[in-house]
Amino acid sequence: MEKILKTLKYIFISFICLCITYHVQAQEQLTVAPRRINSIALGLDLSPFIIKGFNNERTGLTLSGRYGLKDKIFAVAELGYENIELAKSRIKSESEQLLSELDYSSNGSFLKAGLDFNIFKVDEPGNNDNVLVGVRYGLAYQEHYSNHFLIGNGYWNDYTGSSNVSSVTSHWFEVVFGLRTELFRNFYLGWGIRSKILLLSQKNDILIPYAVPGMGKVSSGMAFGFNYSIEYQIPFGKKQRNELPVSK
Amino acid sequence: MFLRDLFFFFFIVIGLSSCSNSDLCLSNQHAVQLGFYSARTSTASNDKDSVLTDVSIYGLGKTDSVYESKSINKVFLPLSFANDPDTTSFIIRARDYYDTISFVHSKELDYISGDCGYIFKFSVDTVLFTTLIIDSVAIAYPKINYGEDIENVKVYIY
Repeated sequence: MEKILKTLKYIFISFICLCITYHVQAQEQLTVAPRRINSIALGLDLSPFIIKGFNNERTGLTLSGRYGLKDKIFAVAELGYENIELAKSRIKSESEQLLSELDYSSNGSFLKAGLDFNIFKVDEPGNNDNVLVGVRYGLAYQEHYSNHFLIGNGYWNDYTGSSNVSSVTSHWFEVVFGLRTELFRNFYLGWGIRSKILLLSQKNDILIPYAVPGMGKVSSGMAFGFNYSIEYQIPFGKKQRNELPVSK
Repeated sequence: MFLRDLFFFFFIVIGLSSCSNSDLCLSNQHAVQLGFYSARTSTASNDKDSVLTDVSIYGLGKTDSVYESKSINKVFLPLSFANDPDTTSFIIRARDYYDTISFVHSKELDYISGDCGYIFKFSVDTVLFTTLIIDSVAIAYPKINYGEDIENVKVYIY
Protein backbone atom coordinates (compact mmCIF):
# COMPACT_ATOMS: atom_id res chain seq x y z
CA MET A 1 0.00 0.00 0.00
CA GLU A 2 2.80 2.30 0.97
CA LYS A 3 4.54 1.53 -2.31
CA ILE A 4 1.42 2.44 -4.30
CA LEU A 5 1.11 5.72 -2.41
CA LYS A 6 4.72 6.58 -3.17
CA THR A 7 4.18 5.83 -6.85
CA LEU A 8 1.04 7.97 -6.97
CA LYS A 9 2.88 10.76 -5.15
CA TYR A 10 5.71 10.59 -7.71
CA ILE A 11 3.26 10.64 -10.63
CA PHE A 12 1.39 13.60 -9.12
CA ILE A 13 4.57 15.65 -8.57
CA SER A 14 5.79 14.81 -12.05
CA PHE A 15 2.46 15.85 -13.53
CA ILE A 16 2.56 19.18 -11.65
CA CYS A 17 6.15 19.84 -12.83
CA LEU A 18 5.21 18.96 -16.38
CA CYS A 19 2.24 21.32 -16.26
CA ILE A 20 4.38 24.17 -14.91
CA THR A 21 7.06 23.61 -17.55
CA TYR A 22 4.49 23.47 -20.34
CA HIS A 23 2.78 26.59 -19.02
CA VAL A 24 6.07 28.55 -18.92
CA GLN A 25 7.02 27.37 -22.40
CA ALA A 26 3.61 28.32 -23.72
CA GLN A 27 3.92 31.75 -22.14
CA GLU A 28 7.35 32.25 -23.66
CA GLN A 29 6.09 31.17 -27.06
CA LEU A 30 3.13 33.47 -26.87
CA THR A 31 5.20 36.52 -25.89
CA VAL A 32 7.99 36.03 -28.40
CA ALA A 33 8.09 38.37 -31.34
CA PRO A 34 8.94 36.91 -34.74
CA ARG A 35 12.54 37.28 -35.80
CA ARG A 36 13.42 39.27 -38.82
CA ILE A 37 15.48 37.53 -41.45
CA ASN A 38 16.86 40.74 -42.91
CA SER A 39 18.34 43.21 -40.51
CA ILE A 40 20.78 46.08 -40.30
CA ALA A 41 22.73 46.66 -37.12
CA LEU A 42 24.97 49.63 -36.37
CA GLY A 43 27.63 49.17 -33.76
CA LEU A 44 30.38 50.79 -31.77
CA ASP A 45 33.50 48.87 -30.83
CA LEU A 46 34.45 49.54 -27.22
CA SER A 47 37.86 47.84 -27.46
CA PRO A 48 39.76 51.05 -28.43
CA PHE A 49 38.52 52.61 -25.19
CA ILE A 50 39.57 49.49 -23.25
CA ILE A 51 43.02 49.56 -24.93
CA LYS A 52 43.31 53.25 -24.06
CA GLY A 53 42.91 52.25 -20.40
CA PHE A 54 46.19 50.35 -20.32
CA ASN A 55 47.96 51.85 -23.35
CA ASN A 56 47.60 55.62 -23.39
CA GLU A 57 49.58 55.90 -26.63
CA ARG A 58 46.75 54.69 -28.86
CA THR A 59 43.46 56.49 -29.48
CA GLY A 60 40.91 55.03 -31.84
CA LEU A 61 37.30 54.70 -32.84
CA THR A 62 35.62 51.87 -34.73
CA LEU A 63 32.07 51.80 -36.09
CA SER A 64 30.51 48.75 -37.64
CA GLY A 65 27.56 47.85 -39.82
CA ARG A 66 26.02 44.41 -40.03
CA TYR A 67 23.51 43.27 -42.61
CA GLY A 68 21.71 39.95 -42.29
CA LEU A 69 21.94 38.34 -45.70
CA LYS A 70 20.24 35.15 -44.57
CA ASP A 71 19.20 33.79 -41.22
CA LYS A 72 22.73 32.54 -40.49
CA ILE A 73 24.92 34.83 -42.59
CA PHE A 74 25.82 38.47 -42.00
CA ALA A 75 27.74 40.86 -44.22
CA VAL A 76 29.91 43.05 -41.97
CA ALA A 77 31.77 46.28 -42.59
CA GLU A 78 33.93 48.12 -40.07
CA LEU A 79 35.31 51.62 -40.38
CA GLY A 80 37.63 53.39 -38.02
CA TYR A 81 40.68 55.48 -37.33
CA GLU A 82 43.61 55.32 -34.95
CA ASN A 83 46.04 57.94 -33.70
CA ILE A 84 49.31 56.96 -32.03
CA GLU A 85 51.51 59.31 -30.04
CA LEU A 86 54.54 57.47 -28.78
CA ALA A 87 57.47 58.70 -26.66
CA LYS A 88 59.94 55.95 -25.75
CA SER A 89 63.38 56.02 -24.24
CA ARG A 90 65.68 53.22 -23.15
CA ILE A 91 68.42 53.59 -20.55
CA LYS A 92 71.12 51.09 -19.70
CA SER A 93 70.40 50.30 -16.08
CA GLU A 94 73.95 49.84 -14.75
CA SER A 95 75.50 52.95 -16.34
CA GLU A 96 72.37 55.06 -16.92
CA GLN A 97 73.57 55.49 -20.48
CA LEU A 98 70.87 56.62 -22.90
CA LEU A 99 70.42 53.82 -25.45
CA SER A 100 67.64 55.26 -27.59
CA GLU A 101 64.85 57.79 -27.73
CA LEU A 102 61.92 57.85 -30.11
CA ASP A 103 59.01 60.24 -30.52
CA TYR A 104 56.59 58.76 -33.01
CA SER A 105 53.23 59.92 -34.40
CA SER A 106 50.79 58.13 -36.67
CA ASN A 107 47.34 58.93 -38.01
CA GLY A 108 45.41 56.45 -40.07
CA SER A 109 42.07 55.04 -41.11
CA PHE A 110 40.92 51.57 -41.99
CA LEU A 111 38.11 49.67 -43.60
CA LYS A 112 37.25 46.03 -43.09
CA ALA A 113 34.69 43.97 -44.95
CA GLY A 114 33.70 40.38 -44.57
CA LEU A 115 31.16 37.80 -43.53
CA ASP A 116 30.04 36.33 -40.22
CA PHE A 117 28.43 32.90 -40.02
CA ASN A 118 26.18 32.12 -37.08
CA ILE A 119 26.93 28.57 -35.97
CA PHE A 120 24.68 28.69 -32.90
CA LYS A 121 21.84 26.21 -33.35
CA VAL A 122 19.02 27.07 -31.00
CA ASP A 123 15.43 25.84 -31.03
CA GLU A 124 14.25 28.34 -28.47
CA PRO A 125 12.06 30.92 -30.21
CA GLY A 126 13.09 34.48 -29.56
CA ASN A 127 16.68 33.57 -28.73
CA ASN A 128 18.66 35.83 -31.03
CA ASP A 129 22.07 35.01 -29.58
CA ASN A 130 24.81 34.22 -32.08
CA VAL A 131 28.04 32.28 -32.04
CA LEU A 132 29.92 33.78 -34.94
CA VAL A 133 32.77 32.57 -37.09
CA GLY A 134 33.84 35.07 -39.70
CA VAL A 135 36.43 36.38 -42.07
CA ARG A 136 37.52 39.92 -42.89
CA TYR A 137 39.67 41.67 -45.44
CA GLY A 138 41.26 44.77 -44.00
CA LEU A 139 42.75 47.82 -45.67
CA ALA A 140 44.47 50.65 -43.80
CA TYR A 141 46.17 53.86 -44.83
CA GLN A 142 48.29 55.77 -42.35
CA GLU A 143 50.78 58.61 -42.29
CA HIS A 144 53.51 58.52 -39.69
CA TYR A 145 56.77 60.21 -38.76
CA SER A 146 59.27 60.70 -35.99
CA ASN A 147 59.98 64.31 -35.08
CA HIS A 148 62.85 63.24 -32.82
CA PHE A 149 64.93 60.15 -32.37
CA LEU A 150 68.25 59.45 -30.71
CA ILE A 151 70.67 56.58 -31.16
CA GLY A 152 72.90 56.27 -28.12
CA ASN A 153 76.54 55.43 -28.77
CA GLY A 154 77.89 55.01 -25.28
CA TYR A 155 81.42 56.05 -26.25
CA TRP A 156 81.37 58.50 -29.15
CA ASN A 157 78.74 61.17 -29.68
CA ASP A 158 75.09 60.12 -29.85
CA TYR A 159 73.13 60.69 -33.05
CA THR A 160 69.87 62.65 -33.14
CA GLY A 161 67.58 63.01 -36.12
CA SER A 162 64.02 63.14 -37.37
CA SER A 163 62.09 61.61 -40.22
CA ASN A 164 59.69 63.14 -42.69
CA VAL A 165 56.05 62.18 -42.95
CA SER A 166 55.67 58.95 -44.91
CA SER A 167 52.67 56.82 -45.77
CA VAL A 168 51.93 53.14 -45.36
CA THR A 169 49.16 51.10 -46.95
CA SER A 170 48.48 47.76 -45.31
CA HIS A 171 46.33 44.84 -46.42
CA TRP A 172 45.48 41.97 -44.14
CA PHE A 173 43.16 39.02 -43.60
CA GLU A 174 41.35 38.21 -40.38
CA VAL A 175 39.63 35.18 -38.91
CA VAL A 176 37.05 36.08 -36.29
CA PHE A 177 35.41 34.06 -33.56
CA GLY A 178 32.86 35.78 -31.39
CA LEU A 179 29.63 35.81 -29.48
CA ARG A 180 26.73 38.19 -29.78
CA THR A 181 23.78 38.28 -27.45
CA GLU A 182 20.63 40.35 -27.39
CA LEU A 183 20.59 42.16 -24.05
CA PHE A 184 17.43 44.10 -24.67
CA ARG A 185 15.12 44.13 -27.63
CA ASN A 186 17.27 45.07 -30.67
CA PHE A 187 20.30 45.93 -28.48
CA TYR A 188 23.18 43.51 -28.81
CA LEU A 189 26.44 43.08 -26.95
CA GLY A 190 29.16 41.11 -28.65
CA TRP A 191 32.80 40.20 -28.36
CA GLY A 192 35.22 38.55 -30.66
CA ILE A 193 38.81 37.41 -30.80
CA ARG A 194 40.70 37.86 -34.02
CA SER A 195 43.73 36.38 -35.66
CA LYS A 196 45.21 38.60 -38.38
CA ILE A 197 47.74 37.94 -41.11
CA LEU A 198 49.45 40.83 -42.88
CA LEU A 199 49.22 40.26 -46.63
CA LEU A 200 50.97 43.34 -47.96
CA SER A 201 52.52 46.49 -46.54
CA GLN A 202 53.47 49.23 -48.99
CA LYS A 203 55.72 51.89 -47.45
CA ASN A 204 58.11 54.48 -48.79
CA ASP A 205 60.39 54.85 -45.77
CA ILE A 206 62.34 52.64 -43.39
CA LEU A 207 59.92 53.57 -40.61
CA ILE A 208 57.69 50.64 -39.66
CA PRO A 209 54.24 51.32 -38.22
CA TYR A 210 54.14 50.94 -34.45
CA ALA A 211 50.61 49.65 -34.98
CA VAL A 212 48.51 49.38 -38.12
CA PRO A 213 45.08 51.02 -37.69
CA GLY A 214 42.50 48.26 -37.36
CA MET A 215 45.14 45.56 -37.20
CA GLY A 216 47.19 46.51 -34.17
CA LYS A 217 50.81 45.72 -33.34
CA VAL A 218 52.22 43.38 -35.94
CA SER A 219 54.85 40.82 -35.04
CA SER A 220 56.28 38.48 -37.70
CA GLY A 221 53.38 39.39 -39.99
CA MET A 222 50.78 38.34 -37.42
CA ALA A 223 48.58 40.18 -34.98
CA PHE A 224 45.92 39.21 -32.50
CA GLY A 225 43.11 41.37 -31.33
CA PHE A 226 39.71 41.53 -29.78
CA ASN A 227 36.58 43.58 -30.12
CA TYR A 228 33.82 44.29 -27.67
CA SER A 229 30.87 45.87 -29.40
CA ILE A 230 27.46 47.25 -28.70
CA GLU A 231 25.02 47.18 -31.59
CA TYR A 232 21.55 48.46 -32.31
CA GLN A 233 19.59 46.44 -34.78
CA ILE A 234 17.27 48.50 -36.92
CA PRO A 235 14.13 46.42 -37.31
CA PHE A 236 13.05 46.10 -40.92
CA GLY A 237 12.61 43.46 -43.58
CA LYS A 238 10.83 40.17 -43.85
CA LYS A 239 9.73 38.33 -40.73
CA GLN A 240 10.74 34.75 -40.18
CA ARG A 241 8.07 32.12 -40.78
CA ASN A 242 6.76 29.44 -38.40
CA GLU A 243 6.70 31.55 -35.29
CA LEU A 244 3.72 32.60 -33.33
CA PRO A 245 2.55 36.20 -33.38
CA VAL A 246 2.89 38.42 -30.36
CA SER A 247 0.10 38.05 -27.85
CA LYS A 248 -1.22 41.24 -26.32
CA MET B 1 23.23 31.72 -19.68
CA PHE B 2 25.85 29.93 -21.77
CA LEU B 3 26.72 33.07 -23.72
CA ARG B 4 26.86 35.21 -20.61
CA ASP B 5 29.34 32.79 -19.02
CA LEU B 6 31.48 33.08 -22.11
CA PHE B 7 31.46 36.86 -21.76
CA PHE B 8 33.10 36.41 -18.35
CA PHE B 9 35.65 34.04 -19.87
CA PHE B 10 36.41 36.63 -22.52
CA PHE B 11 37.37 39.25 -19.95
CA ILE B 12 39.80 36.79 -18.35
CA VAL B 13 41.42 36.14 -21.75
CA ILE B 14 41.72 39.87 -22.46
CA GLY B 15 43.16 40.47 -19.01
CA LEU B 16 45.85 37.86 -19.61
CA SER B 17 46.62 39.07 -23.13
CA SER B 18 47.18 42.62 -21.88
CA CYS B 19 50.15 41.37 -19.84
CA SER B 20 52.33 40.75 -22.92
CA ASN B 21 55.88 42.09 -22.87
CA SER B 22 57.18 44.73 -25.23
CA ASP B 23 59.90 43.93 -27.77
CA LEU B 24 63.27 42.78 -26.51
CA CYS B 25 65.81 45.37 -27.65
CA LEU B 26 69.52 44.76 -28.15
CA SER B 27 72.18 47.31 -27.23
CA ASN B 28 75.75 48.04 -28.40
CA GLN B 29 74.87 46.98 -31.95
CA HIS B 30 77.22 49.51 -33.55
CA ALA B 31 80.48 47.89 -32.44
CA VAL B 32 82.98 46.19 -34.69
CA GLN B 33 83.96 42.79 -33.33
CA LEU B 34 87.71 41.96 -33.35
CA GLY B 35 89.30 38.61 -32.63
CA PHE B 36 93.01 38.30 -31.79
CA TYR B 37 95.08 35.52 -33.30
CA SER B 38 98.70 34.49 -33.16
CA ALA B 39 100.60 35.46 -36.31
CA ARG B 40 103.29 32.85 -35.52
CA THR B 41 101.10 29.79 -35.01
CA SER B 42 98.15 30.54 -37.28
CA THR B 43 98.11 29.07 -40.77
CA ALA B 44 96.04 30.00 -43.80
CA SER B 45 93.49 27.32 -42.94
CA ASN B 46 93.71 27.31 -39.14
CA ASP B 47 93.68 30.45 -36.97
CA LYS B 48 95.00 30.08 -33.43
CA ASP B 49 93.47 32.29 -30.75
CA SER B 50 95.80 34.53 -28.87
CA VAL B 51 95.15 36.26 -25.55
CA LEU B 52 96.56 39.73 -25.10
CA THR B 53 97.33 40.52 -21.47
CA ASP B 54 97.28 43.89 -19.71
CA VAL B 55 95.65 45.59 -22.67
CA SER B 56 93.98 48.99 -22.72
CA ILE B 57 92.09 50.40 -25.70
CA TYR B 58 91.25 54.08 -26.17
CA GLY B 59 89.43 55.96 -28.87
CA LEU B 60 91.77 58.34 -30.67
CA GLY B 61 91.44 61.72 -28.95
CA LYS B 62 89.55 60.26 -26.01
CA THR B 63 90.75 59.99 -22.43
CA ASP B 64 88.30 57.34 -21.24
CA SER B 65 88.99 53.78 -22.29
CA VAL B 66 86.89 51.11 -23.92
CA TYR B 67 88.97 48.41 -22.18
CA GLU B 68 91.37 49.04 -19.27
CA SER B 69 94.14 46.58 -18.30
CA LYS B 70 92.26 43.51 -19.46
CA SER B 71 93.27 40.12 -20.76
CA ILE B 72 91.38 39.75 -24.00
CA ASN B 73 91.11 37.64 -27.12
CA LYS B 74 87.98 39.35 -28.44
CA VAL B 75 86.87 43.00 -28.26
CA PHE B 76 83.89 45.11 -29.31
CA LEU B 77 84.88 48.60 -30.45
CA PRO B 78 82.07 51.14 -30.90
CA LEU B 79 82.08 52.99 -34.24
CA SER B 80 81.47 56.71 -34.51
CA PHE B 81 78.19 58.09 -35.89
CA ALA B 82 79.77 61.43 -36.89
CA ASN B 83 80.22 61.29 -40.67
CA ASP B 84 79.50 59.05 -43.58
CA PRO B 85 81.88 57.65 -44.67
CA ASP B 86 83.92 58.02 -41.52
CA THR B 87 87.04 56.67 -39.89
CA THR B 88 87.00 55.54 -36.27
CA SER B 89 90.45 55.06 -34.72
CA PHE B 90 91.57 53.32 -31.55
CA ILE B 91 94.88 53.05 -29.73
CA ILE B 92 95.71 49.59 -28.47
CA ARG B 93 98.23 49.58 -25.64
CA ALA B 94 99.75 46.29 -24.54
CA ARG B 95 102.26 46.89 -21.74
CA ASP B 96 104.62 49.48 -23.25
CA TYR B 97 103.69 48.98 -26.88
CA TYR B 98 101.14 51.04 -28.76
CA ASP B 99 99.39 50.45 -32.04
CA THR B 100 96.71 52.47 -33.79
CA ILE B 101 93.96 50.69 -35.66
CA SER B 102 91.50 52.64 -37.83
CA PHE B 103 88.26 51.46 -39.39
CA VAL B 104 87.02 53.20 -42.51
CA HIS B 105 83.31 52.56 -42.59
CA SER B 106 80.02 53.61 -44.13
CA LYS B 107 76.69 53.53 -42.36
CA GLU B 108 73.02 53.28 -43.14
CA LEU B 109 70.10 54.29 -40.95
CA ASP B 110 67.67 51.51 -40.11
CA TYR B 111 64.57 51.23 -37.99
CA ILE B 112 63.89 48.34 -35.63
CA SER B 113 60.58 49.03 -33.91
CA GLY B 114 58.66 51.53 -31.85
CA ASP B 115 60.12 50.01 -28.70
CA CYS B 116 63.74 49.76 -29.90
CA GLY B 117 63.90 52.81 -32.17
CA TYR B 118 66.48 53.50 -34.88
CA ILE B 119 69.95 52.00 -35.33
CA PHE B 120 72.84 52.30 -37.77
CA LYS B 121 74.00 49.41 -39.89
CA PHE B 122 77.71 49.63 -40.72
CA SER B 123 79.99 48.29 -43.38
CA VAL B 124 83.74 48.17 -42.68
CA ASP B 125 85.47 49.04 -45.92
CA THR B 126 89.13 49.27 -44.92
CA VAL B 127 91.25 48.67 -41.81
CA LEU B 128 94.44 50.71 -41.34
CA PHE B 129 96.95 49.89 -38.61
CA THR B 130 100.46 50.36 -37.26
CA THR B 131 102.64 47.32 -36.66
CA LEU B 132 104.27 47.29 -33.23
CA ILE B 133 101.88 44.68 -31.82
CA ILE B 134 99.81 43.94 -34.89
CA ASP B 135 101.25 41.81 -37.64
CA SER B 136 98.32 41.92 -40.05
CA VAL B 137 94.53 42.14 -40.21
CA ALA B 138 91.82 40.52 -42.30
CA ILE B 139 88.21 41.62 -42.72
CA ALA B 140 86.28 38.43 -42.10
CA TYR B 141 82.76 39.89 -42.31
CA PRO B 142 82.38 43.58 -43.21
CA LYS B 143 78.71 44.03 -42.21
CA ILE B 144 77.66 45.09 -38.74
CA ASN B 145 73.96 44.40 -38.55
CA TYR B 146 71.50 44.53 -35.69
CA GLY B 147 71.11 41.17 -33.99
CA GLU B 148 74.16 39.55 -35.58
CA ASP B 149 77.05 38.30 -33.46
CA ILE B 150 79.76 37.69 -36.05
CA GLU B 151 83.46 38.47 -35.85
CA ASN B 152 84.22 41.25 -38.32
CA VAL B 153 87.99 41.63 -38.21
CA LYS B 154 90.78 39.15 -37.44
CA VAL B 155 93.83 40.80 -35.90
CA TYR B 156 97.05 38.79 -36.05
CA ILE B 157 99.57 39.76 -33.37
CA TYR B 158 103.24 39.04 -33.01
